[in-house]
Formats: sequence, C-alpha cells, structure tokens
Amino acid sequence: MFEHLVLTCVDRFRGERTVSGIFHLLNGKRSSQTLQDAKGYELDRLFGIYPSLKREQLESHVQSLKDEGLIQINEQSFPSMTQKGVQRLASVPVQEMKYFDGMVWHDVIPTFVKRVHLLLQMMANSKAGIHHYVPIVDDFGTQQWVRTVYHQFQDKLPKMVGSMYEEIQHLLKKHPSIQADLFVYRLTGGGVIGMTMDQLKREFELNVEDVEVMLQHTYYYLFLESKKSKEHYPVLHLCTKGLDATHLITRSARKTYQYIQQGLSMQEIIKKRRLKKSTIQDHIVESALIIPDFSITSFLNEEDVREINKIESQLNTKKLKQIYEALDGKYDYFELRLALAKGQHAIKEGMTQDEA
Amino acid sequence: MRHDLSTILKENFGFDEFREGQREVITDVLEGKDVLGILPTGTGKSLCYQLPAKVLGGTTLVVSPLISLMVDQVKQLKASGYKAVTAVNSFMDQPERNTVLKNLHKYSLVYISPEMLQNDWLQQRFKRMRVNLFVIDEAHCISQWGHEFRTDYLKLHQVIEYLGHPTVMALSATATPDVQQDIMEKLKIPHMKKRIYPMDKQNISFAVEECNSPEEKTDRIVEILKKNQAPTMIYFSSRQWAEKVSFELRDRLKQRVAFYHGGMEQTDRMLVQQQFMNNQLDVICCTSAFGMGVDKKDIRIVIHFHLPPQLESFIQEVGRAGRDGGAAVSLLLFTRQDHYLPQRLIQSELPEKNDLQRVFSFLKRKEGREVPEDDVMIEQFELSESQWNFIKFQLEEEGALQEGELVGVTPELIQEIDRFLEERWMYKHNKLNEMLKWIHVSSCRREALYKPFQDMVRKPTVPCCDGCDFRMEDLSFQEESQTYDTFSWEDRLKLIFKQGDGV
Repeated sequence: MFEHLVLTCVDRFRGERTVSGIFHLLNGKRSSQTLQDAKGYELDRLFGIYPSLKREQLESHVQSLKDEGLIQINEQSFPSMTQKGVQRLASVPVQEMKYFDGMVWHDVIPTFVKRVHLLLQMMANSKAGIHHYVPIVDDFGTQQWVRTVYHQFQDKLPKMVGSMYEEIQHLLKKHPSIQADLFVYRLTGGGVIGMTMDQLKREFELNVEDVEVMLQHTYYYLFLESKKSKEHYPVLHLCTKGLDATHLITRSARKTYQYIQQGLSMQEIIKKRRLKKSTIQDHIVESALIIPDFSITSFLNEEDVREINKIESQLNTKKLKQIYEALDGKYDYFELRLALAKGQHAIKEGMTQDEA
Repeated sequence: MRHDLSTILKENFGFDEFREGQREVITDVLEGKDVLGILPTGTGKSLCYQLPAKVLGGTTLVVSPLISLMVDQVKQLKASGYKAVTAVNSFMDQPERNTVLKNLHKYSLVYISPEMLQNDWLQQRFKRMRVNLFVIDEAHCISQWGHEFRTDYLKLHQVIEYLGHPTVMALSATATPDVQQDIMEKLKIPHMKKRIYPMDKQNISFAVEECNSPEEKTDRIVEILKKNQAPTMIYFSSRQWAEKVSFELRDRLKQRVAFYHGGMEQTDRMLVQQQFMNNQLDVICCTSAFGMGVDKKDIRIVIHFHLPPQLESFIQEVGRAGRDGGAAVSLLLFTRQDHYLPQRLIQSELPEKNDLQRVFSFLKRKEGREVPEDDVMIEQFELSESQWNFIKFQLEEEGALQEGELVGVTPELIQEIDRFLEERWMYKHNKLNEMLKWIHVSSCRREALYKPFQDMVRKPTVPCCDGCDFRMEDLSFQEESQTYDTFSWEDRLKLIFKQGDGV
C-alpha cells in the first residue's frame, strides 16, 4: 500500500523531482514549491496524508523499490519508473486509496480521528456500564468537545450508541476488509483495549507504513462519507462538525495577495513588507495556485499564459529549465511558474466541465 | 475535631479498610502535625493525602519529581471519579494551561514539579489560595544520600515558609534511617512525626541466577514462562533490549507479550498499560519507566534481566508484584559482564575529574562574561547532557553563575565542587557495590535485602529465597488466561459496542 503510494508519486513526478519532493508532499509541507508540485503533477490528493512519516522510512522504501527494479534513480537522484514498476502500479486496484483528499482535508482529519476515538470510547463504555476509565485521547480540546456532546445529548445517548455502531459497521462493510480490520482493532471501548501500531503490524503481518497509510485512508473514507450525509451517519457526522476545508494559503502569502488586490505593485509590496523579491513572487504563485479567480494580468497577459502552457504541453514536462530554454529566455522563471499555476485551473475547469 | 475516617474512606474511595500506616499518617495531618511517612510501594501512599485533601478543604499541593508520574496519577484519579485534581506541568498546551491556571483555586489537589514551584507568579498565586497541606512525594529526592537526588528539592523549605507553613507531609517508599534524618534537616522541620513501616514483602520469594550470556537469560525466561502462566513483568536497563527480548518471547511463547518504554508514542504507551491492566497481555518487557502509574494488583512474577543500579530501585520494582497479597516471585538474572552496564550509566551521568578541570580552566578565562549555550559546552567538551547539568548546577549553587554570567571562579570553589563530585562518585559506586554484593549473598537473601532499611525482617508467608528454602523449579502458577481468538473486525466491533449475539 505504502509502496503503491510511493510508486504513484514517482510515476506522476516523471523523473522531475527528487525523493525529497515526495517526502514533502506526503508530509504536507507548506511551501510554494510543494504546493505547486502537488497541483502541477496532480498529486494534490496525496498532499499531507502521512504527517508522521520520517525521511528514513521513505528512503528505505525507495531503496527497496530500487532493489526490486521497480524504479531507477539517476545520478542527480531523481527517481523514475521502470517498465516493471509501471506494471506493478497498474496491478493494484485504485479503490484501495481512492478516498484520499489531502490538499483539502489533511488539516482537519487528525481532529476528526481524535473525536471518533474518544466519543466511541465514551459511548461504548457507557453501554457496557464502565463509568471510570482513562480517556484514550489525551488532547484537552477533544476531551472538552466530547464533554459538550455528552451534556448536550445526555438523554439520547443510548440511541446514539446504537447508531454509532450501525454507522461504522455499515461503512466498513463497503471498505477493503484489511483496512476495516486495522481500524477496528485500533479502537478502545467497552472493556476492550485497542492495539498499538506495533501490535497491528505484527498481527496483520504488514509493515508499519502500510498500517499507517491504511488507517489514514479509512479515516478519510469515514470522514468524507459521513460529512456528506448527516441523515445516514448522524453520529459520525457530528464528529465532522465545524471541520471545514482548508484554504491552503500561508498567512504571509495571504497578506501579499491582499496588497495585490488593493492594486499595489510588486515593488511597492517588497518595500512595504521588507521581504525579498523571490519571497513575494512565491506568494503570488501560491495565490495563483489556490485562488482560482486571482487575476494575474498585471504580471502576465493572457496570451503569454497561453503560450507558456502550450510549450509545456508540447514538451510534456514541468521542468522549468526546459520550458525556459525552449522559449529562448523570453520569460523569466517567475513568469513561467505563474503561467503554469494559472494553467492548472484552466485544465481543472475544463475537466469538470467535461464531467458535467 | 474528630472524623469518622472509615466512613469517609468508604464513601469517597470505596475501600472498606485502611492499609497499614494510612490511618496513622492521615490522623497526624488532620491534627495539624507535620509527618514523615515511609510506606512501602503498593500500600496506597497517595490515599494518605487524597483523603485529607477532601476533609481539609482548600488546596493540597503535591510536589512530585516526575511529570509522567504526575500525569498518570491525575488520569487515574479522574478515572476513579476524583475530578478536582490537576497537574501543573510544562507539557500542557496553551488552552489547557490557561484554563487550569485560571481555575487553580477550584482544584482540591494540585500536583506540581519542584521546578515549576520555583515560579514566582505561581508562588504568589498559591499564597493567596488556602494551601492546607503541603505534600512532598518521593521525599528521598531531597537527600543527596537518597538514590535519586534532585537539586530542586533543596529549595522546598523556602516555599513552605513563604506559604506560611501549611501542614507538611513527606512521603517515600525507600529511605534508610540516614536519608530520613536528612529529609527532616533539609526541610528544616526537625520535629516531624515519624511513621516508618517495614518494606519487606512477606508474600514474595526471591531468587538470583547466573547466566553465561544474554541468550541464556532469554532461554531461561522461556523455560520458566512455559511452565508458569501469570501476569509477569520483565525489567531491562535499555529500550533496545526490552524490544528485542519481547520479540523473541512472542515467537517462542504462547503468551501475549508486549514491550514498554519511554521512547514510545504516548497513545501506544497508554494502550500497553491498559492492556496489561485489562489482562489482554500476560508479559510486559519494560524499562523502569513502566509501572509508576500502574496499579495492577495481581502481578505474580517480576524478572530482572539487568542489574538495577541500586537496591532501592530493585526493591521498588519488585514491590509491584503481589499487591493483592497473593504469592509472588522475584527472579534476578545476571552475567559476569553485567556490572559494567550500571557502571557506564554512572559514567554518563557524572563528569570525570579531568572534565571538570578542562571546563573550569576554560570558564576562568570567561569570567565576567556569559557562559556559552548548553549545546556549545556539551559539544566542545564532549560531555553528556547530565554531566554538563551537574557542573552548571554546582556553579549556580556556589553562586559563581548568576543569571548566565560568571563571577568569582576561585580555586576554593573548584575544590569544593571537586570534593562534591568525588562524593557523588563514591556514593553511586557504593550503591552499585551493595547491589553486586547482594546478588552474591549465599545466606538469606531476604534478610540481606531489607536489613539496611529496617530493624527486623519479618517471616515470609511464602517460601523465602534461594538462600533458604525456595527453588525456582518449585514455582507453579497456572492462571487461566483469556483465549486469544482472532476475531473478525465485525465480531470485535460487536464486542466493543456490546451488540447482538453472545454478549
């Protein structure tokens, strides 16, 4: 599963990004480079889905993929797919990770998980008549949240316990069974204590990265399904309350964005904010990536945007250097990045129109 | 004022009777007497202040040396229904901290670390509140003859004074008569009521065995646990060993084995503790980090895979066995090479003499200026963190380091620190030697273990030790263990929610 994830990244990055690029993507690093990669290579669903990943873990998996001949790594340490790797990638059912939607939700998933775990413990324990127990989630905010729910719904509690069981049971039945196993064996409540990551890994003969990725995927699945339908999954839906999509723009970039909206020029912003030119440029690219209707005409006209994106698709690369050279240095790197960022939205919008 | 303590005990804590020493200590503080209580592990030390806290009202402050221990205790108290309790510590996140500090006066029990207690703002806050009882847990930390000397404990007497001398209760599980005397001196309360109870466990049998290699130790454990089925703890001196042996035991035994150490992620640590409490695990391979907050009554076997650095730790760890009063056993395994391990531990804790000299000649040239950052010093002189901390604290203590600046690094001062360092080395080595001596005792082991701590060692209710009438081979615990069926997730979910068939 984790292997599949890494292969997907290598495949989409097309030999144009290093292992670090993959690491930052899965980790959810908020830099304009990582954000642009995520969008540009259509890996935004995997952005930030494995926040606890350590670099060594990724590197050892990359090494074994290489040893197996699934990927190759060139002398600039850019990994790319081999024929065998492409076949392997195609053999895994997409269904097993289709619910990841990291770019939009990675920020709120941990809160959702903590709520589910603690609420479930509270409910299952109350059903089992266990009134004194150590809360499985230490986090103060989550404990307060569960306390509030408890006081708010005190008289409905027995009904909610039954509902929570039904909801989880119903959703997991439609989910890959190994992922359902991991999720349920991790739960604590009703006198049953959940398993540690190490125990899960041994019990189901997986590596720890697979356990983590499968758990995360199940969390996204439960979150998205229950967020959608209050009617079918009232208790889980409660756990998604107030958890909204992230607008992945850094505070600093937002400020730059606001100045541009007010009509300030780049020079003026540089002076006002006392930041380097390259930083302000990063902010502008970030805004262009994330805010669909952000107008960039003060930096680049529409024709230029089109020309750059055309070259990009002809060359079939995201490598700025190649695009730069193909255009004989007509545009600087900032303009190229900006045009490509804008181009993303054009593609996306085109796609949704087709689908509709 | 007279209280019906038995009724209070029953109503608030659900117990029918006091354990040894509890009633006496509680009565003392309710009468306003300062008390020094030496109560062995497993006798419910914490009840000694929890109950008075209820009766006295106001605030009871509990100084406790380990944050993890405090947090565990608070969790357990809350779990048992005692809600007005908190632990002020540096690990709280901002919202929690704000809430706690704002409502500090509403808590009846406040746990705090000695470092935190030095905070002026907190001290003023406590002074305005009604602190009726000042508890010093693990009071042996105040004595440099105690096995876990903590320099911050030395400043406690100032705080007690500042708070207008509330009733003081000093508690410890292991303190020799010397240490007891030192505790009272350092607290500057010479006339504490002493309540000393014997720490020998009459229901534990002792054995020590020599092995030729670590592998042989593991084989021996497998052999024993194949014949005996009962809750078991195995203590290790390092995390790696705890993990390694747990994996091997898991493969070679039918029992359910897990490891536990301070390097694990918080949730997983809690899960392992809870599984053990809940009898979902039979054997725990752990470091000394395990157990402080765990009050499992039916542990039958405690095995030491490595030597503890002193008898006090050994006694505390062994004391986790048989808290229900039933028969239990302690087995220590050692190889000839083993005493190097604790020795290395001591070395990494204390600086060596020529380390001191190098650091001091460097610092002398820095006089009147700031001392470099900790990391810089540690790297430049290749010290461990605790070695540098030792030096730094000594400089502070002697007034040579004031607000990060060096003043008056005199030869006398250096000599003084030198002398103290030597004392600590000697002390730690003596402690280790006591431990080593004990494993080679050929007469009664129980007698040799407890004699330094109490006048008379009681007669055991079980076979005594391998110096007397006990043989490991005679051991036979056959407790029923829950079957370890692998359920489908659907069955497990039903079990959790108590749904449907068979539940």
